[in-house]
Amino acid sequence: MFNYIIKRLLQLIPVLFGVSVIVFLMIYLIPGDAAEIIGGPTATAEEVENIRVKLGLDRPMYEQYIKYISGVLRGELGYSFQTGQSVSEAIKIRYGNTFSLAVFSAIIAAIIGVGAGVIAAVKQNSWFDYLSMSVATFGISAPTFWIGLLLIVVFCVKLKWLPISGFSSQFWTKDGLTHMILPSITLGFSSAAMIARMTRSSILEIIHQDYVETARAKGLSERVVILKHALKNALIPVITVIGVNFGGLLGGAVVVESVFAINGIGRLMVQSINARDFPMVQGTVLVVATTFVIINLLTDIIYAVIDPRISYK
Amino acid sequence: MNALLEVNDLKTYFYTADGIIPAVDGVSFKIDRGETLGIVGESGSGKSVTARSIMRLVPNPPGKIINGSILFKGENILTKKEKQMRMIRGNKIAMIFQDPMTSLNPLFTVGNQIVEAIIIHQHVSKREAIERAVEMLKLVGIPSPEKRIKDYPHQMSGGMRQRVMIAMALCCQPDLLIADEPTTALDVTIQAQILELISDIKEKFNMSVMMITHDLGVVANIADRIIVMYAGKMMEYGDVEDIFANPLHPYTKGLMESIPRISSNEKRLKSIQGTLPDLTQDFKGCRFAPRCSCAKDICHNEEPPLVQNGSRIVRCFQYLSGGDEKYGKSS
Repeated sequence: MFNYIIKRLLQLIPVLFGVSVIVFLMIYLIPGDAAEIIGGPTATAEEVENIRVKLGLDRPMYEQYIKYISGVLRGELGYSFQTGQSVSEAIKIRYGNTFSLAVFSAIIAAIIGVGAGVIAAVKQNSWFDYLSMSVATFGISAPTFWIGLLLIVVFCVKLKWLPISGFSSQFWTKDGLTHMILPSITLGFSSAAMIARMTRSSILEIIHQDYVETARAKGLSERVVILKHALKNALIPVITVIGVNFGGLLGGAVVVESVFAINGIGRLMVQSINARDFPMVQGTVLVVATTFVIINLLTDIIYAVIDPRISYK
Repeated sequence: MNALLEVNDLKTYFYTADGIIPAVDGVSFKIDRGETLGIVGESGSGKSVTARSIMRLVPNPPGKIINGSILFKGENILTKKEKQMRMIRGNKIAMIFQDPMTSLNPLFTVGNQIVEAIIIHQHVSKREAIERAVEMLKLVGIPSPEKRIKDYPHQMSGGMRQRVMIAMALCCQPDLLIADEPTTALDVTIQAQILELISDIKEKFNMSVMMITHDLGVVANIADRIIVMYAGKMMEYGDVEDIFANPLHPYTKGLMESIPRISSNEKRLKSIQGTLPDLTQDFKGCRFAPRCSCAKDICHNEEPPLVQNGSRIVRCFQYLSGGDEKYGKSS
């Protein structure tokens, strides 16, 4: 197990290197000359040249990358063109909001998704099965912003149960928690739907396995048979869905943060893209991509914890 | 002697979209204490469904036990509540399955899976249960059991896993062990070891064994009595020596003839032509008639009754007293 984790950590290095290269090259991927775009349509040739020198765009590419990556390794992501603020500082302020929102959504999605999936599978073809799977199909198809607005209308405007905005990442306080609920549900809804469908089909497949019959033949109650013997096996593909969806949650946060006015990384990213604030765009993309890579690593480690066969392969 | 298990006119049907399949259709037998009963028949003959009916593990839907009684120690287990049934499963009646590669849960250690069975039935502490599990693994011939108990199934060979399955089945010292083709998925050399193990353990615990197999060689070695099943019906029932010495039913004869013999000079292996009938259609006559070389008109039109022939029971018109008239002189 220990060796497996070390191995997976080492595999992280080339992936993160790739991420940094792509993020670094982003500035070249946009059509036209970056310096000209930054300077805008009114900039003179001299001004454009100044921008180019200031950004180091006149240096050879490998030199630029080394400068960039050494900064990244020291935690320096450059300064915003727009505000002059340190990119790492700006991200630090917002990262907690987005991350806690994504984690909260993932937890809600996992609990609701796995729970509904198990019940739907055990009570296959019952009204619960039909209802939950219809809701799941709805959840996968409905756009996030629309669900967010719908929830706001129902719970904030009509029922007045929950606040509309004023998000804080301090979910351990009552105030923080009430602000967390609606954005998390909005963000986690489609994820919960996918998890529910995956859990259901996975359990339905597993309950026909021989070892489930062995468990019954031992005299175990149906609850233990399902929750211990079937569910643990069924969770393996479900964990993949949860892991991959977490990346989707970070991306989906862009929309939810706008709907609920949350000061998060998603909104920062959108604002920076609109303002052509390249260092900020690079910084936010780098952080989100790295988070995603680390979540994938955790998913793989959870696999190995659940399935002893994995670390042997 | 009082029978440990008495099955009377058991009918287990499957209700599928294609029609009703009478997987077990009026099977009756008994197993005495310490006796080994072999149930023989080809795939689809209803052997496994009979076993699962006794365990009440027939998947419902589509399967349903619609008739009969199963008396275990004199009590009808078909009328028991699910909770009472759980006290019997794995405790009084244990079962081992065909494929040891898939019958153990890959995500739990073998120790965990044995201990679990001990704890639910024996009300002992976890430590005692672990000691018991080690003891059982030792009994079934697993070397250094105190280490192997921490192994996962994938770290063991097929033969070892089947030994683990047997250890698990025996951990509560059941009165009846149902073995559903326990050697089919194993290498020939391992098969003999596992059969020997089951025989030894049966003696040791004075257990009864119900051995399901399609391999006549297996029952010849281990069984006291055998039932030959075909398409959900019992075709022949009797002592193993008698049946081997003088098979009565044409199907039993066919099975005996299809055992390859080294002494035989024949170039081709003998087999019974044809396949099992489609039972979803309204079937008339003897179920074996379409494949039977001695079938007469009556066999295709009327279902033969079970005929007592000495100590033997056989389902064939040939042996019906006065059956010759109905059947026409057998050649």
